[in-house]
Amino acid sequence: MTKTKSKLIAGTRNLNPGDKNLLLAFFSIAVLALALGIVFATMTAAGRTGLFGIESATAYRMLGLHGVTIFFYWLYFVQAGFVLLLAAVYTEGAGEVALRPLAWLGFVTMLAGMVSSESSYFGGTILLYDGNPSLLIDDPSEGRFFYLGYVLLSAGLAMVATCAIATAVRPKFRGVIESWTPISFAAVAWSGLLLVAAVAGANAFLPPLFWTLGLRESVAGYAMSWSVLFHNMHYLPLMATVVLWYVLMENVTGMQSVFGPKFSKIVFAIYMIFVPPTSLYHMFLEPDLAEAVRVVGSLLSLFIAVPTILVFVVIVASLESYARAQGGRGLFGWIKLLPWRNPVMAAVGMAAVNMALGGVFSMVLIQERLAVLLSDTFYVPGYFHFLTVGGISLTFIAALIYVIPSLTGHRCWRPAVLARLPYILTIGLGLFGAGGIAAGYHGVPRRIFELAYHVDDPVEHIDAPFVWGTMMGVIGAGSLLMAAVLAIYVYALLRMLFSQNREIGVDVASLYVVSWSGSAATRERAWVGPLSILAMVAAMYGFTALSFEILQRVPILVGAAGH
Amino acid sequence: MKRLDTVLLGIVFIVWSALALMYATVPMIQMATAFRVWGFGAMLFLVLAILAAGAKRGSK
Ligand code: HEM
Repeated sequence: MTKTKSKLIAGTRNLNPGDKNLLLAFFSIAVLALALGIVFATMTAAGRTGLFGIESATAYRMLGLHGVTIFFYWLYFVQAGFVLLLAAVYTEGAGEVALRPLAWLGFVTMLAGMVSSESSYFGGTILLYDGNPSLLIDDPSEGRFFYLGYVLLSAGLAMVATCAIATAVRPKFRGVIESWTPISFAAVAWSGLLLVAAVAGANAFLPPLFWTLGLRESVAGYAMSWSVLFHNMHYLPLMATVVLWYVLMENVTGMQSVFGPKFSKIVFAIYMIFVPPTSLYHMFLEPDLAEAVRVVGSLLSLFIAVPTILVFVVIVASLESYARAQGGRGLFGWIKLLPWRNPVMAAVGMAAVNMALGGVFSMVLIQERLAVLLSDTFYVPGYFHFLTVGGISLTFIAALIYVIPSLTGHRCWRPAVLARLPYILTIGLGLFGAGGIAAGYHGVPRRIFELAYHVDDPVEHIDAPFVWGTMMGVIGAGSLLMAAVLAIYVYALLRMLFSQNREIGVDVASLYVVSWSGSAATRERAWVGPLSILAMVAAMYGFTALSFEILQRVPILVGAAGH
Repeated sequence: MKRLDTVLLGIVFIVWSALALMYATVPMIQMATAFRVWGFGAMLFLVLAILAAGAKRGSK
């Protein structure tokens, strides 16, 4: 095993005990939210596929808890921890988290939010994670704790993001540095977007909170406020993911971007520039939206993937140049030189594959004509789990594998086992996604647990298609595999958080890496990045054309509903 | 590089302001109240651009 001079590991180890405790608090609750989210996911999947005989009403509540716990609390606790960590470790001269008491207040506020949101399900709320207030017409008071939770989460996030910005800005004002590194620049931009999301959260959830408390008569314009928040919530974890890829690849190979730090900053800034103009497509299902706006929205949303694709190209081209300078040969042969035995490398590699798959399938839904047909079917969870589980969550887990042992001083639990999990997770996702997408084309609705139906028309007897059951079986098998892999990851992270057992595991700084730093070969060929983008664009085009083809053959009555 | 931080954050401010104004003033888009969110974001990135420009002279 090669010793690495990982900046992430060394910088994290050098943090003071106060900062370490703060970060451990965020990461521990993130892991708890992930664990709970997986339990709720398993119950939801069981409800959808008929396993364990779970009743529809219970399964529906599990779906609500799954969405809230994993999409809001796992993704935002883990981001809060990483944005603080990257600002402190990658801003030269920072050395510690600024305004730490405010960050603790943010943590407590977010935790109170989580308790409030989760407890609302035991108080009988019937809301799903999108908190549609029209479901509460009969008894608005059932949604109080639900909205309060989201408002507290937004407030807590705003405090944490402020601390991360202060951490990065302070060394500039002290005259220690003149400019940020690309990673601290990215951390500032990411914190800025977190603050905007917090304001979008308050904008969306304060009116329904006041309504459920009896302080206002009604809630107007929720669909729009939610879609603006939801748009930010798409972008934030995506941006976090690519920033972490950049950090982790540097740490497992020693590479630096061959395009230079300036270009990396420009790419991270492009992320910010593309956020508001691409938000229109969330309004596609609004029935009275003008046709011209639909067309413009459809065109603009094509740009949504551009920043992610750019970062992907920067990373892959840099890796390829470095690997070729080390003797890597053949169009793909250099890929073998990457340190695949390292669990972080394996996770990031598979995360990139899953993101590409999710990206291809998501393009179908930004075609406004297909969006109307597929938005309420299982197509949607079928494609977005590639992104949320296989891309984003897998990347966060990879980063936690480096960071948690660096914070606790404990060992990395069984790296050889962890290095195999990403492949099994991808197989599970393949089943879940393929089953889900096929189910979507056959009209299997999302969020509906009672799939059997029978219409006894005098002319025609209509039953739910037999094939629905088969596809739900495939989805169930994929779900079990995904849940098993994620449960092992959670167990591993808990061991790294709490177990001091020195018999099992490896010092995280001794995980297998390659040290290519200093061997930059800017004149080496690097084709795989651009070629994979071409392949992705071709796949998007082909898949969208196929979708039009399939859906033209299906006799469908459309009654568009909201997200 | 110091100027680059400021320039990039400044560009974000300009784009966000333009879009916030558009969302606020073009009723056809049906996103009028989104102005609050994007408008806040524009102001925030302006502040960040100013902070990025605030490094002391003579620093690294
Ligand atoms: C073991 C892993 C997972 C399994 C088996 C799983 C399974 C499911 C299932 C069966 C649904 C219901 C689909 C429907 O009926 O509409 C669902 C919905 C959802 N999942 Fe997952 N999921 C997993 C992990 C995740 C992760 C890690 C995230 C995000 C980080 C996530 C985010 C969501 C969201 C946002 C919904 C939609 C909730 C709604 O429509 O209200 N899932 N998941």
